Amino acid sequence: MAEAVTNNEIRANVYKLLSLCYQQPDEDLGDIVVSLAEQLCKVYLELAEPAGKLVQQLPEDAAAVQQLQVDHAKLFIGPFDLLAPPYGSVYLEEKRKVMGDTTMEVIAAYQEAGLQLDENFKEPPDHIVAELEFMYFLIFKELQGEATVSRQKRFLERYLQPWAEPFCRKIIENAATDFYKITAEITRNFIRQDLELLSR
Amino acid sequence: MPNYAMVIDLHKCAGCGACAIACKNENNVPEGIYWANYIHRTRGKFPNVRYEFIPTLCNHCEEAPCVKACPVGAMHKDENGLTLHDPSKCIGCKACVVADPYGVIYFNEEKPHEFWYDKEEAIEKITSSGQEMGKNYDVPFPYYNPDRAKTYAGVRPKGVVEKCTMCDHRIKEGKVPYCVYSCPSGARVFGDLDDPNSEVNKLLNQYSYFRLGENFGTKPKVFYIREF
Amino acid sequence: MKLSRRSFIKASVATGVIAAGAGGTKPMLQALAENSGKENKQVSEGEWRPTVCQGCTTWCAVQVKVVNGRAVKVRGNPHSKANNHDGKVCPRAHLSLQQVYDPDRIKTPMKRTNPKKGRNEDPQFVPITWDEAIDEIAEKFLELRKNNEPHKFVLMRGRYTYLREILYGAFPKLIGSPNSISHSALCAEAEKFGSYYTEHYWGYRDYDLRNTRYVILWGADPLASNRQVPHAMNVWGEVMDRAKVAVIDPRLSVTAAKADEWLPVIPGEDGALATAMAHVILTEGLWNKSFVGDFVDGVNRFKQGETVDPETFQENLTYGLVRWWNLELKDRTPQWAEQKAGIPAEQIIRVAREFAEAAPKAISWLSPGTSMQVRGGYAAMAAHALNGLVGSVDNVGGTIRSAKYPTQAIPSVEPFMDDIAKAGNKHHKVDQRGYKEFPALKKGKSGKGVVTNRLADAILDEDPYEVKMAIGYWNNFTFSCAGASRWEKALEKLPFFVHITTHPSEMAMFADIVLPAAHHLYERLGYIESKANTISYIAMNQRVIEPVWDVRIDETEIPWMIAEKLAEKGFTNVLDYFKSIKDPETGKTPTNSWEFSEYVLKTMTQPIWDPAIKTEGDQFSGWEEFKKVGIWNSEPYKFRNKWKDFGTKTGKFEFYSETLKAALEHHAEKHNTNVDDIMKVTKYQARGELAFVPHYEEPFRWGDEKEYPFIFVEHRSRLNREARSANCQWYQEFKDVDPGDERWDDVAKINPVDAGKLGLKTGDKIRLKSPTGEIECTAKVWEGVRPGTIVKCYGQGHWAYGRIAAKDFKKRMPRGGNNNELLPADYERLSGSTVRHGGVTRVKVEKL
Repeated sequence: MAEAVTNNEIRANVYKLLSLCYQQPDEDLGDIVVSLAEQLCKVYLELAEPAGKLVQQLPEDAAAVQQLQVDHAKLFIGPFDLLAPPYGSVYLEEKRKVMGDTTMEVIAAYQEAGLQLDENFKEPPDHIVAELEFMYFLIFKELQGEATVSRQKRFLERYLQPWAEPFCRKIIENAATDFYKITAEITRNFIRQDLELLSR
Repeated sequence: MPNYAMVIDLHKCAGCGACAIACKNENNVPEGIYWANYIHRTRGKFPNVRYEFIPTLCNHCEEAPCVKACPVGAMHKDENGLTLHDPSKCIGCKACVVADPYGVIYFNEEKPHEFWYDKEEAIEKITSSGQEMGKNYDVPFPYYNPDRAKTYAGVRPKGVVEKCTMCDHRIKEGKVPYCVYSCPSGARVFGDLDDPNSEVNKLLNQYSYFRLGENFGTKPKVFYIREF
Repeated sequence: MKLSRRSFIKASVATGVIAAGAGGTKPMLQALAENSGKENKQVSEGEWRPTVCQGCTTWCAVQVKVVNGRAVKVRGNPHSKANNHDGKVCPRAHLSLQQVYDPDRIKTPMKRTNPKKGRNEDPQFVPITWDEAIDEIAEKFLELRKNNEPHKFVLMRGRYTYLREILYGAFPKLIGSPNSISHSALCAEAEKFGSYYTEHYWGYRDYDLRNTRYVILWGADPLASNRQVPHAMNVWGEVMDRAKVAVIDPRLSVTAAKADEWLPVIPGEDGALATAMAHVILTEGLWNKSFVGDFVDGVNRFKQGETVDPETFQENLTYGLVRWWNLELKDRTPQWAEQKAGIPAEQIIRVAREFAEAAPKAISWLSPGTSMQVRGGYAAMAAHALNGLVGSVDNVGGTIRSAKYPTQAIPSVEPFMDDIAKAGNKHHKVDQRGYKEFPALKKGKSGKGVVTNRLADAILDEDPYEVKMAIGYWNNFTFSCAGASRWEKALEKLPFFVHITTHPSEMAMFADIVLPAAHHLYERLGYIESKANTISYIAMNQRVIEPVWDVRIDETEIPWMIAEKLAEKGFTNVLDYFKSIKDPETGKTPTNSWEFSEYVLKTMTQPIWDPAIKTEGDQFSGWEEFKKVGIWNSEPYKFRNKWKDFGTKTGKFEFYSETLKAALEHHAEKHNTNVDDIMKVTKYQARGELAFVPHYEEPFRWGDEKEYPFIFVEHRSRLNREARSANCQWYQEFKDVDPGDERWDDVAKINPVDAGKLGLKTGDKIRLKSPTGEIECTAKVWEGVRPGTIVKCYGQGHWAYGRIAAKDFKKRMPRGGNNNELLPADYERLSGSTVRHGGVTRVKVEKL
């Protein structure tokens, strides 16, 4: 029991930190990545190595920061022909549609959990940042004693995992920096493992 | 900043007018005013006849004569290359209408959507009037689209001009203009001219294109490829 | 208050625990925010709800965007795999917003107080309650039943959903009337005749457009009308990239304008082109040898004018090729066809050749244009037979049918029919089907098909008997039937007429009671079956907004209300039957009209949504999920399944139709005569065995060429919601999307050569006169029509329906003129189909 709780804390932390990794890179990035590595090496041993590499990829100067920012923009911001569109509906709906039906279902899932999009968050609701954060939120609620495991599983299985795979693949194929390639690899493997865990 | 443009593939265009109708729907455009429209012509002699159909809209010109003509800055270019209009500044002088060589700017002579304020009934007590139907709803008319009001007057008042905004309210939310979304044949493509990988650039590289009134020096941002 | 990200990270690094929500700590959110009880903004901005658009016979699955209870937009249902890829839908769907919110809709039941009926009589309608209206209707039914004449009641159906099983199927039977009369013969029964008597398929075909390499369109204009419109529009760019398109149409339709070949045939001469194309395919040895077979020695004996010994040819999946050649095709040269059809021989040859060379990925696409002609049955067969010649029937890139629709029937009414009902049902149907001159050979049986338009004559002549009462729903026969003025007379005569309608239509003006109907796209329940893109689908009409007025569903709620009233008055059978239809989930008996509607719908669609019933295609976890998605899609069509056995008399694709022969002989026998006599009374020229093969017939036209110099051609509008959208502003504002037409007007298109002779210019007011009627409209001088023809779109000319459709509703002044007042009431009698194409009438033009 105690172990499960510990794991839930780490799971929550990892989801939250991964979510932060997909936001626009700024001066916090170092803290985020270091924390992520710390968390992963406690339980997810095979992810410790890439996490370590990720720390090594942290930008050391302004030019490197800018390079990361450019890569981030090309991958995720656009506005057109993003190299790795960070929205679920693009992968889940036929013909790469944004704000498709799955988007509506994601909104419904948030609503059911008592959430809505933050008004300062200007992205579609099925953005990777929001969906990872939502997993964090559900596990957080679980830690607080609310039973959310089935909701975690349903959300992960139906909405996040199916598109996380092709999304991460696109990053790995198209990113200019190793930083995002590794982030994608960690994301993909973590989500895969987590779904296995929940499916047990 | 993006530099928005539209490519219309006339080979795919079915000449159905869904763009023009959907535009009225999206933008609450009153009767007699057409943000999206079309021109058609028939040439040749029977049986060697050609019918052509060209959908039209504001060209969002790089060198927009309407913007230059506007004395109060109501008609203006935004940072994304769109030609937009601010009805709160508009004094209704119609200088833009005169300057516009494409005839896509319209002046609201009358109170818009008068139909929904009219009291006439086809059959007394059996059918309703525009006003009676309209009263059921707390919006200007029953199928009024509230999204339009996010960036522009939901309905433009009498005494000012109005025109296509390339659905700037939708673009801001990552959507394409409604005429693009609603085109049943997928003939319209919207995108960033400055992005070499955008779909519009791909099409403009692949096909030769023309623009309306090339010789006006307006540098229109609506491009036409292939033949109807 | 939110922590900044920095402090959040710092805290985490310090404690090693971010999430540890030790009691009371709040989760740290950036993208999301806890809902403070307010509705989520995104959702309050609207929701897309699924339903069906029945603006044309495509029957698209659509979604309506509903914002605060208002319908704001319509798009295709993205779950559709057939017609509405990516939410695409044709322009008609948008117009529906102006129908449902039309101020001219009827908002309450109403009753006529002026007993005199006529176009120029003011009915003096007054509002009444639903209860009063239903009471009066129930009384009339009881009176008919008391007098043992319930068969003198007629149910007239126009457009429908499959919940027709109640009002059109069960209800009249339970009352005691066999007279459920559908509109189908106004639609295109003659077209189905073409595919039935060749490949035994009585239905509209689907086409594998994505794989085709050649398309011949026989008057079809798939970018604008006919079936599967959005799908055709969606793929047409690709189709034209990959395939050639040839359009046979006297007018330059939009599809013709974009096509590789336009063959502006002289109206009614389609059969000449089709038989000549078959002639070319055979003489040039281009038929599909594996499908059709070949000469035993491989030497082509199909030579112009020469008969062929059947023994020399070994047929495979077809039947009667050599007999067809000998009886008909051997003399049907392209040069001969050029004289008849006015199309250059070399163009006929080119189209035939390229079509056959592209085959079997080739489509010969039937439409009403080629078939709804007095002698159009055989032209339809000939055009469809081309698919047989090149082996494109039921084949990839060719012409196909539909997958199975997994629905189930409602319970039988038999146990609930009393003696009066049983006796009433024994009467012959009133529309004269099966009369000697109206064989109506639907599915091979004499008198099985409907002859909708004859109902007016049946009422007027009391032949076969008097009609005392009728209910009409979702129809407007006074407007939509050729020879429309007969309908005005018939309805004047009809003693008691109830009309269920959304609008004050031309037909409603003759009604004794008018009941306001729920709009099919927004306010009702129902379901439809349709197909496109090799996918068959079932979609549900749903109530996506609260109805604007006090309306009811025509097919289920109104019969339920009548049934309740009848039960109150002592006749309980109808209600007893209705109550036998339970909720398939809970077993509950319906207690009101809405529950009843829902249970019927659930029962009929149960195999789709009930996971316990195994079906192919889309799967659902239950009723709620099916409702939410709104559409079931089949598996893609399985090609060549029919090749094993087409179902014809011979099992083969028949060029010599043993199936038609049997049907005609049976009909002749029934009337103690022979097939030649049947040919004669049905206005056909064929005698002998020619009656059993696709063949050329001269066009039949009303009017003498000297007095009426022009051939009249009518066509469809891409904005017509079956002639119900003319009261929409957008319809009028964009009417010129029909090539040659004008905004806010109704024009007759005339070639400049003819206009010059008559001294006409665009905008002149003119009168068109046929031997049976006349209308006024505006002249439009246009090159897109053949000299010698007058071409006019159907849909305008309403003298009622609303204040936009009519130029002056109160004065009954039409906007333009209704083509059906010009067209004579004539028929393709073998199918029962009404006729409006092929230049059925000549007209003269007078300048006003």
